[in-house]
Amino acid sequence: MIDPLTVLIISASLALLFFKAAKHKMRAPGQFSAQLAAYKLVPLSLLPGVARLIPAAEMAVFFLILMPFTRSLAAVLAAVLLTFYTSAMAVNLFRGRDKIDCGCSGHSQKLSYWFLLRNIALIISSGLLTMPSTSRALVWADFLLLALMLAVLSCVYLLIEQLVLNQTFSESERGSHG
Amino acid sequence: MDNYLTEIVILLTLVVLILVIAVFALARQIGDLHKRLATADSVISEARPKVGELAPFLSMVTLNGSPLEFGGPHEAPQLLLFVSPTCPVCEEMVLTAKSMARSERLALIFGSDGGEMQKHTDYVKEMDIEDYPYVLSLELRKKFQVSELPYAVLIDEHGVLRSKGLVNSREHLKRLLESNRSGYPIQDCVVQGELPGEQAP
Repeated sequence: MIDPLTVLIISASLALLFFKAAKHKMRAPGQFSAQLAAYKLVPLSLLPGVARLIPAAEMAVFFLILMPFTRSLAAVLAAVLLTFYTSAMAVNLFRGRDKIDCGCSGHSQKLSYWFLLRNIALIISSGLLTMPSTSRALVWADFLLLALMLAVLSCVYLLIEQLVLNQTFSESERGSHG
Repeated sequence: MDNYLTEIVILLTLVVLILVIAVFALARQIGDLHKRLATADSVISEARPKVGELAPFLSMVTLNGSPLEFGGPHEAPQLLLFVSPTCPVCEEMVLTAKSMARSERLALIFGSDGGEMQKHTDYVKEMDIEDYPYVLSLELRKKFQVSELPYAVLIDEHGVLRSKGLVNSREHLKRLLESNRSGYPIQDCVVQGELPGEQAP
């Protein structure tokens, strides 16, 4: 049994995350399908369909996870999508193709083990949403905490992206000095 | 009891938030330092990759979303021209590069980085280079340690770096291309040494 505040924090954060993910994919569909093609996992004939399906599914997660009665459905969908991304990244990392564009956000980012860890944390948290929650009346303090936690989690997310970017820098410097 | 616990939790969350923001700010500053170090490096040290070596292979996505592979074996030599919408000399070099690429049968690629996406899209339209791949890649720029614009990199069909350097005029670009035909590499300092270049923005 988990507290309703935890449910709110997780679902609001996941909603934010999926909205951001879907937005950049919908804004630049060509770029996304090229990023997807670089993973070399989806057959070329299916590529346009899959490239359209993924942002639509992400948008669906965003809407469904915010409503209490569709929350667990959205959580399952989110977990499935995240598992799909994580295994796609893992496969390419093990293949040694870590120089491809991750497609995680609007700007170019190479694959990193950091993303695997981050995604596993995200999968576990979407899993938590499928568990039954206790019921209690939420008070003002809960909403204040919700806002603060959202800010913390968003900052952690940005922090991970920045750290991966820094890693790219230091690696290419090492590379250029032999 | 409950009340004071709530207060403490809120206070602690606030502290965590401030700490996370601080760590994030630090990480950004480190990233910034890396960028500056890389620029300083390319001025001081002998830039790598060297002419005659295999150029680094990069798989990228162009501005209009198609995949692009730079380096490695190709049908035609690849000419990469680093430009920026904010650099006036670049405009002239874009036009020159277009005509030279056509006459010399080179695969012309434009590279740039930073700034708003919209500026680059407008630039591509304005310069009428929609038919050429245009990539936004900081990595590409760092790989060739480009600190001044417009900068050209030429690799032959086997993926070997033939020449590179600052190109300010038609003459510069011509000499850069000639080094490919003769197989005799021109060191970039020769090209660079003549004119103090337009500083990269």
